[in-house]
Amino acid sequence: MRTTQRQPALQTLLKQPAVQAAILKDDDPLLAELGRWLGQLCLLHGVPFNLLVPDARMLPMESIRFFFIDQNWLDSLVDGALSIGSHTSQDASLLEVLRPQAHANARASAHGERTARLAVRRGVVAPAPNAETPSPPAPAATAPVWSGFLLRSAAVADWPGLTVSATDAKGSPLQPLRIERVAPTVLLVVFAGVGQAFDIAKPSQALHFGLEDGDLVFVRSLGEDGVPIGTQLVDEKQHHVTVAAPFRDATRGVLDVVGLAGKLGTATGAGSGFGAAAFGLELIAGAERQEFTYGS
Amino acid sequence: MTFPQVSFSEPAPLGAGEIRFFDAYQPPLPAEDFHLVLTQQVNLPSPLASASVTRSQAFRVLGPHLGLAPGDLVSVFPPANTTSDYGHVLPHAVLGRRTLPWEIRLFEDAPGTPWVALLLLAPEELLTPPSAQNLTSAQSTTLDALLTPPAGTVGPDLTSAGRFVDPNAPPPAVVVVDVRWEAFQAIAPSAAELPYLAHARQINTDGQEIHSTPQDGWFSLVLANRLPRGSATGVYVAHLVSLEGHAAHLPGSGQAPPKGTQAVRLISLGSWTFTSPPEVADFAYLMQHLDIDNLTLPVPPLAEDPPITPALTLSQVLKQGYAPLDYQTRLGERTVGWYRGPCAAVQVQRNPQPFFAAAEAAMVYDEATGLFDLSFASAWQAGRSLALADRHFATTLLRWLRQGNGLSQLLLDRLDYYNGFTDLAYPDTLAELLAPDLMRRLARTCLAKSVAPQLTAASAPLLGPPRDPSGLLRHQARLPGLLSREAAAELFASGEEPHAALAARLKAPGPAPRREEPV
Repeated sequence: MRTTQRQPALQTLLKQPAVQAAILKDDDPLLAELGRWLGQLCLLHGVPFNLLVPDARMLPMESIRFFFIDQNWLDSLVDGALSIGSHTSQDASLLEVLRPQAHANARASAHGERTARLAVRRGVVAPAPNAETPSPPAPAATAPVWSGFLLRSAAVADWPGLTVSATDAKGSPLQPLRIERVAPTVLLVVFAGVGQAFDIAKPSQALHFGLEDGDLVFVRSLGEDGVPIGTQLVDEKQHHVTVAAPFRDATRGVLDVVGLAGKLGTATGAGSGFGAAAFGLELIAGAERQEFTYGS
Repeated sequence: MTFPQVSFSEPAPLGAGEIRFFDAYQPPLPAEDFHLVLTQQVNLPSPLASASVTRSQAFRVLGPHLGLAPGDLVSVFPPANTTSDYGHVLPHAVLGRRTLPWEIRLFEDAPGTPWVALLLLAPEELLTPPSAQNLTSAQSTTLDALLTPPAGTVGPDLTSAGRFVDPNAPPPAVVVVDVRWEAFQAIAPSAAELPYLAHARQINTDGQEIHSTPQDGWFSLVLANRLPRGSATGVYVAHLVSLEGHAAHLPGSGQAPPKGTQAVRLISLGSWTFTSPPEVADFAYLMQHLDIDNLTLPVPPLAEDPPITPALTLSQVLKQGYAPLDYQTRLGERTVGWYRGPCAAVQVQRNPQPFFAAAEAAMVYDEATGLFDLSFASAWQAGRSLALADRHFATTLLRWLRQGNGLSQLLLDRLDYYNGFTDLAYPDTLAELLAPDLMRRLARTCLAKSVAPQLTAASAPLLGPPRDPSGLLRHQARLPGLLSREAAAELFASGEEPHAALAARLKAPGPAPRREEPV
């Protein structure tokens, strides 16, 4: 009874900026927790895959599909989540106050989410889902623009831990918001900003040794002629200087080590001074990568 | 024997993330037997005979002849028991001591040649193929079985094998592996190749960890000379073996093996297995043959492009990332609804919407076509379902609502108070309105404004003079220690110590204290 009579007064009250500020305190741990959860939601954690790709023909096998995130869709997603709190008209009035802040907090939290997860994985922060998360950066005044791609390929299954990066039209690197295998062969990648060039590389894992495709060695400088040690050498036409590895037993993949060392010694200019250290340096394997340009 | 020039000064410190490579890091003395000989020549003038005195001291430099100590083998690549496309990878083993590969001298005249080699073998190249019980075919055996292997197998030529053995200890166990002679000749590095396949390394341990390395940042590394190729099953076994005593068996040594040799028995210092399937597609091939597009449905080959909305034709709608889906309305009608997920094929402007109370409210109905756009309704429903499924989120939201409701109710209550008690100054700020001591301030204000004036106005005590609250005064006559008010005042005024004075009075004979009538 009393609440009903007070409802108009409450409505007036909740419209006042000072009252809204008191309800949406910056340091409220509950608000931070809601923002964290909604941030994950905005990165489409838990959203059924058929809502991302409603028709299998949109993402055939061995394909890459670029997209922009529709922030209006995310708004509806967040609204649906908030709607579970709406039991009385008083709740509804409060949720109206919460909604803009929740939308902004969710985006801000999404920007910090991967960083926080990586920190947990590296053991910097102990994982504690209920603990107060570090306060997300201040919500951006403008609506965020997110872009990304879905990669469906055997490569996703064969090389777990593919490294993905993107740059915008100005060439500045974009912050990855989510890089995750959503199915054994499907990789979902979301970046903050409009990606122009996307780069997919084989996982670098540990530093290791090997040959490049075609059993070539991309020759690195050993510091001759003032070229810094380790940089890949190029010829007059700016092509990489390569050496084809000779084999003692090609079927078994057994290298002719002395022959390879001799070729590398000539290519690097080290000659007979080419030893085990130089041999190791030349054979350090680079991670294979592939670049995609949006709109190509 | 010649000894390398050894400099004991450490190289300059490394910057973060830097690695320094060394061809070989030879120990001052290899693991062998030595004699320290001291000769003193005494030259005396004639006719005294000159003489020379010689003393000899034998000593032994111990070495890892029969096996490595725990922790000597730090890490291996490719990681053990993994499966991936390693077809272009040269396996390697990281050793925890910078001098380890050069501690035993394989050739007297080549101190830079390591005594260890990393052999990469296909299962069929081992004399005993690996089994589920023994993944790498390494077998533990006795020193005798190493030195005198079964017929058809050659073991290492360790002429002074006795020096490995402590006569007081039980006979040592040795881990060995038997490799087919033909395969060993095809795979094992030659004497000329060995120096290239081991190097020492110094890394900066302050920077990012590359391997799980020794604390001092120094280690050595042994490289295989074979890429994982040629195994029918894709399974490979890697053995870090000792070549001590095998100099004559190495390919290119020019020495023929005994007739009927089928295998060579090697000390296995460490072994692991991994799989590199032959049929794994090439990463570059896969990447270069990807079908690149936006996330859209392919446009069907139609003779004409039907309009879907007044502004857009079918192909245009599809190019925006929409997909037509079966939609059954609440009333049971079957129709087609358009849907586009969060991953749109085009950049969409942010378009603020009202806070919908139900999924149906978020449906967009196109009057021109009679079709629904279900995108936002689906999103709303997905958000609601996920929120309902997550108890943590639901409770957090309810707790926040309770907190918000509490605050707004408190605000309304406070406003009621201020409106009811006009005596209180109306607060200027919200913080003042919500100040926690409102009730105290209210009481204080009421006291100051209503009660205090009455109290100060009356000259006489409102409740009359105090009576005898303890009820003792009427028994004063019978209680000698109980003084009348005047007597007590007198006692305190005297300046004496009250207890002592009272005791003195009680002891002193005199008239009984005057009895005071109760009031």
